[in-house]
Amino acid sequence: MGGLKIRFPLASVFGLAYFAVVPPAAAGVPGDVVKVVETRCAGCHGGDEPEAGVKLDGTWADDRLVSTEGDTWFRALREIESGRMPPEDEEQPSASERALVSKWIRGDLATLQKQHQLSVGRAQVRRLSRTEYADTVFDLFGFRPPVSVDLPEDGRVDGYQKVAKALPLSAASIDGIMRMTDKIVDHLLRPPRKGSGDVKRYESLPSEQSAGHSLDLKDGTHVFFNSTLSGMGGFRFRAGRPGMYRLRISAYGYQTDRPLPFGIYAGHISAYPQLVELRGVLDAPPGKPSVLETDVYLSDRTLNELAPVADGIRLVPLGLGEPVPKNHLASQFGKDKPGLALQWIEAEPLNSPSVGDQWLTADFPPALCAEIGQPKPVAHLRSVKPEEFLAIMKKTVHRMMPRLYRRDPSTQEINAVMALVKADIDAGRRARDIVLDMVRGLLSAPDFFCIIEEPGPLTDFAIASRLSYFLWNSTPDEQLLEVARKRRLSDPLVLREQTDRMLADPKAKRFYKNFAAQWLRLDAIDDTTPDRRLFPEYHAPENDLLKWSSVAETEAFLKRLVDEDASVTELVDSQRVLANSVLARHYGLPALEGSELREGKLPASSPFGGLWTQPAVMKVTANGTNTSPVKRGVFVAERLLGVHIPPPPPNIEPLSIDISAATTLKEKLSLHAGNGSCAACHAKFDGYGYALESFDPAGMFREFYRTTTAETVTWKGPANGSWGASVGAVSTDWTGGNVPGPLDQVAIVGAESGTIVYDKPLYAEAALHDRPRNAAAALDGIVIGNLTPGSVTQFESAADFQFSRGFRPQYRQAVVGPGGRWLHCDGLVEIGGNLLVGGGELTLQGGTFRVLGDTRIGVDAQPAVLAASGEGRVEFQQSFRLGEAAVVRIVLTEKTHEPLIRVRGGGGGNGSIELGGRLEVEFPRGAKIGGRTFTVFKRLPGGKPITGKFSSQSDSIATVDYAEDSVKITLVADPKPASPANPASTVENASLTSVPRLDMAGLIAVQNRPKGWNKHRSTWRNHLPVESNGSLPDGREFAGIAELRERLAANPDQLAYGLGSHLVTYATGARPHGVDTVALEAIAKQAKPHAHGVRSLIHAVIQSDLFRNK
Amino acid sequence: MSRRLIAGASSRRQFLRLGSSLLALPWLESLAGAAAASGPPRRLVAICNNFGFYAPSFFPVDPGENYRPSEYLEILDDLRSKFTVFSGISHPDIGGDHASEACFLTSAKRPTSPGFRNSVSLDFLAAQHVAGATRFPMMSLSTGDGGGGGGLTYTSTGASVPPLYSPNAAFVKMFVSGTPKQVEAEVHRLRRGRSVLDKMEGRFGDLSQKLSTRDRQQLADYTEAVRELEKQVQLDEEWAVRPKPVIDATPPTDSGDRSDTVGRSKLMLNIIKLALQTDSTRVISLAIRGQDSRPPIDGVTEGHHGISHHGNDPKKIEQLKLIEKAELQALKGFLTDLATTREGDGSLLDNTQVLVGSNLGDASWHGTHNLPILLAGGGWKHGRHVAGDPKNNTPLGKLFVSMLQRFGMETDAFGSGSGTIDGLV
Repeated sequence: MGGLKIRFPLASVFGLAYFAVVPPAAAGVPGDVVKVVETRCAGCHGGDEPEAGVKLDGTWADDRLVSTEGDTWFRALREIESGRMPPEDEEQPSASERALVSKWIRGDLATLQKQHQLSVGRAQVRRLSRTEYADTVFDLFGFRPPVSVDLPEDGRVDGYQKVAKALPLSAASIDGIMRMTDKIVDHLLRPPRKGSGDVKRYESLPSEQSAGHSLDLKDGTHVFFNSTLSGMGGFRFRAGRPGMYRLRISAYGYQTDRPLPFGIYAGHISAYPQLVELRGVLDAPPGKPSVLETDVYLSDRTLNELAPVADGIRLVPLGLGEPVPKNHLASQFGKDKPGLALQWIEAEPLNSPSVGDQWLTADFPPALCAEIGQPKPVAHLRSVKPEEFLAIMKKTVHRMMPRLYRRDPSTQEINAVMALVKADIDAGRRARDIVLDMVRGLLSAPDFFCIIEEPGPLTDFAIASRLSYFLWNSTPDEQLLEVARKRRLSDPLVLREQTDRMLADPKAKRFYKNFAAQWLRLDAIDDTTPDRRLFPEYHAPENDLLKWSSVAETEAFLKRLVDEDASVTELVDSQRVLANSVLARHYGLPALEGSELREGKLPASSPFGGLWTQPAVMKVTANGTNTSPVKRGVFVAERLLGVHIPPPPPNIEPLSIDISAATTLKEKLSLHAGNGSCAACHAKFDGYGYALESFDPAGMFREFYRTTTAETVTWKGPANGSWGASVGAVSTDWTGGNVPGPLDQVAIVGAESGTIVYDKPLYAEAALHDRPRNAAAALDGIVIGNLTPGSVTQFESAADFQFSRGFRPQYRQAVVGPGGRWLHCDGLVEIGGNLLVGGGELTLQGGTFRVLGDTRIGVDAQPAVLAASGEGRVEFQQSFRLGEAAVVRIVLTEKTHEPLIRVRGGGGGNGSIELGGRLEVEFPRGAKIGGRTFTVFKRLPGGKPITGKFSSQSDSIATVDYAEDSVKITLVADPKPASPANPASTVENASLTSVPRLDMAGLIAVQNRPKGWNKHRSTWRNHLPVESNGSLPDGREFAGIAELRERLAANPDQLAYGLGSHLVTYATGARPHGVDTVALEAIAKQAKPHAHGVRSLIHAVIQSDLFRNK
Repeated sequence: MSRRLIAGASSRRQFLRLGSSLLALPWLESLAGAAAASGPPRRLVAICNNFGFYAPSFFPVDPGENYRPSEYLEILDDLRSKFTVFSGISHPDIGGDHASEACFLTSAKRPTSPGFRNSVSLDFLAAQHVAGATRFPMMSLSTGDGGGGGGLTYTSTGASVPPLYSPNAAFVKMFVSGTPKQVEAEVHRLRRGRSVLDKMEGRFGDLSQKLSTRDRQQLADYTEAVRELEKQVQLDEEWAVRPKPVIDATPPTDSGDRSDTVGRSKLMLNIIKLALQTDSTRVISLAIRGQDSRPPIDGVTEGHHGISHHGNDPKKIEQLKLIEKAELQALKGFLTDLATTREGDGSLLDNTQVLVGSNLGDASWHGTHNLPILLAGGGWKHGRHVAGDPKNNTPLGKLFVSMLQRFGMETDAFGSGSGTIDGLV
């Protein structure tokens, strides 16, 4: 209150006395102010076409000074006081001239506008919004009316749905209100169906689609492996009465040692596709059946907004993807994968008897209740005498009306209601109909479905109503009404106490949800989806909980700021985050398990921090599937700092940001907004937007823009084929993030050897191919060229060169020449034809290497090595032959449960291994290596199954070395069969000539998007770097997000002003302008002694005149 | 007629919903007057495709009668003589983004500005002109669902009219009669409604005495809405007891797949055809709403909204074209149906003006200039490309004026357009 009291000593809240003591405001603009304005401002801000549309006119009379035109003076105030206006290059007014103008605006003009506001009000009468109506009915009756079915969508003003202009009433809305009224009344005094209040247990059912979608365990448990709604099993349960239900769920995470999040979906579960809504997320504990308990809202048929059916329940595991294909056996595909094991659910209706019935019949004697509750109501009133009934009804009306009208009704209003009741009783109508028609009448009164406030300082009841629609999105409770009835809300301490009480109530979660939905537009979270190809991370199965979690995070973050009265600076600068498993991954925090949000700490170097860089906020501020610095810049200016940005002139063509083009975003934007008035305004927010360009549409940090557009760059080596120099250049260019422009398709031609080093993730496809001359048509990925003798191609690490998982580059043939090295680290490489390690080395440190054709290792006694270690795996579909000097070295780790080498019969033929060289298998001592690990040996001609103990075969010699910490098995071919007749050597002799050669000495190409694209594959490439530097409206420059964060956090007054202005709009239904901006400064100032705490700010808003006057 | 619809629970529910979407309007002409009017009835259909049509594939290059059809218009080329294509046309000063949907039929300026108040829509205005002539003065339809996005219709106070999302419900309202008991219950509900409305109007009247001048405009709007509904209820009561037309068609099954915009459009277009054929209404608007999810069209791998923001990525444009071609195929089917249904001396299409367009000229960047606009039927001389200036667009309101005049209204202005459009005769 302090700030406002000083500024407006008379604008106190003590009722009508106000009008009597306000001094008459000066008429029009005083002469001395006019003089200053005319000499200092009017040159630009006068005439018919004033600069930036801002006109300052000293001739205005009072009526114009209180209109929206008059607000211009308050916009000017900030410019004048900060010294930004007049601009530097103009003659400057003296300090006393500035003070004169500013004093008049803050003084007489403010008083004038204030006085005007008191007579007409800031807010206008309005109907309840959809959600307010639903929450109000829920709090009164215990169930929700189908607002989205019966009411037209609410409009928005500046994002807000609590503003009169956003809530027009059409014939259709009134019709909708009447229909909902009927539906509400239809749900009152319903005779309970037999057994409807009982708690029943429903056993889990297998998938309703073809058998095999779920793994059906013997004890009746069904396990689901897919994170998808289709093919899920369910329960026979359907909601009876609408209302809250307590669900007890017996479930567990199957084949996992971590909590498994699952979603509780409710709705029309037997439709296809299902019309359901996510109502909650729980974590199933791993391993053992556990009973989880949670409360969810469920609807019956007539009130359901999703479909005209009673809600059913689906429980769906999250984050698992779809490992079990349709019409396949879950038992086979899910054999070692985590799944959700479901046993049963119990559903206990909590709204039975309903909140509404209890409220309605509180004064009814049991006999009357019994009479009304008959399944077939009796024809006439029986259980009580008509006079008694009239008295009971009077008591009931007295009790109900204040809650429905949110104020004490006048005697006249009560009498009007009672007159109808009496007429009904006299007419001999049924008791039940009389009661229900009474309720119907009250619900269809504008006093119920509209917010009605009288001009001037609000009554206590009106303050109570504002308070509860602000913090609960709903009607005041009995306690708040009682405080209002005693006129105690005018007492700041009582108001504060009530505010704290209401914030502590669970209903306050509606404030966080609805305020975030309107202030930040989080309700638009579903409007766009980041491009699958550009942002595959967002679409990864394990991230399916991200969207839900991110909204929950932002709402919870706001709640925490309020609960702890934490500083508004945490909106932009906070090391604390609330994270669960997916958000921890998003923020790069140590792994967390489960869906529940917990507090974590960001590393100091993190680009994230504060509400503004949270993924939900970044997603809704993205422009479709791209980002726009303009949109995000305006977001920061308007939503965080409270600076109003006028909309662009409507006839400006929107900026077309084609990020595949070579010009940078900044160049484009400066072309677009570079001129005169555009530039002046864009300077107010573009800078913020540039900093936020560091986050992509999914909210992930980025240093480069991504693109999927392919381009080709070719380096041609010297004709004679040595590629040393070229490769050197390539190597330099590709390291340090300095990708030479487009990296989609790169061809290196005319070189024989060299090393290519990638230090950026490079998602690519690979194909060796045999038609290099027709490169344009045939290049289909990375071509590892003819690794002719002496050439080296080395891909050094998983991060450097990544073959994405699940992707199958088809090497027609791959050849590693003598001296060549090929290191493969991740993903799957599939060789369609032959693999020849002809004297080079092929090393696998991870991923799978699958060879569909013949494999030959070692040619002409050249040393050739195939080495697999870590989790690397080699699969041979056909035969596998080792040359004399070949070595296959396999190093097993403890983690390895799969066979490192597996030979399968491919194409109908049997796989075989012919040994010409050595096969070494090394594994840690004590490692658990089951029989499966060695399946490869079962295929050896004459080989015996090896389980636990290695046994040699007739034509080979094996040695087993026990080292201190490992066991090494060496298998050496028996020299005898290695005769010239042995195919292992004859074929090898012919091999090099039988492989089609590439004409070019070396060729490497990377291209996105080859044929047979699959959805989990990544195809983006880094393109232009993000330029996150910019300048603030005052011209100070900053280098990027971290520096901007510092600058913004250094100005908590501005942040408090910004948040305050949005809280005022949300709480009062009117956006602050004109004199309100001065009041807002005072609100921000009030929070200052409390370190700009958000809770203190809410208190300051509620205690302010903006809140307490209409 | 399926038994389920008559006896089933859902039909009752749908029956009871009668009125909220098929909005009845003031009874301006008596029934007899309307029947006496000479010649076949004039009708108006307005369709808005909210993600637009990819401009380079939509607009023909050369103006006049001998234009070469664009990639998209090739699809409609069989009907070439039945429609006119417009270019260089839009509502001025719209700006905004998807919010411009609200202005497609109203031309109200700057929908994203804080003080925005919408104005009356083309269909609502036309419906007021013929109210009473048919059971439903108008129909506002949408392929979306209640979760997001309304229809195209706005009342004279700028309030949105909730559209009907269910083709099945629309069918039931038009053709499925309730049981006598249902009819009685509905009449009872409507009567009760009248007394409730009386009281509501009285209360709003009291309030406008008590509240401030600023509130009066809002209260006047609210009161106007109550009066409108009172008239509608009266009309509904009269129609409730009249028999519905009997037709030989099975009620459609609603599509539960919200991503299937084209499939849903087809169902709605068929409802429109039936409504016009049976003269159940003469004014219909349809909002074709693209969704964020992937539509079930072969070759489309991304969500429609995402694709519409193609950013000139040729791969996205390729997919966008697949969707938009499917939409145009559906429209072709609809227009062909109307053109081959005989009425009087001509066809149903000859008596029905069908406006097809979008609020977005360039969905990728939310551009609201150079809107794709087609006008078919209605007895105009078609077969032309009326080319406007892409830099200085013709106000779309001018076309609306021409349409309203053809519809029989005496008016020379609509929203931001005054006078009729050149090139349409």
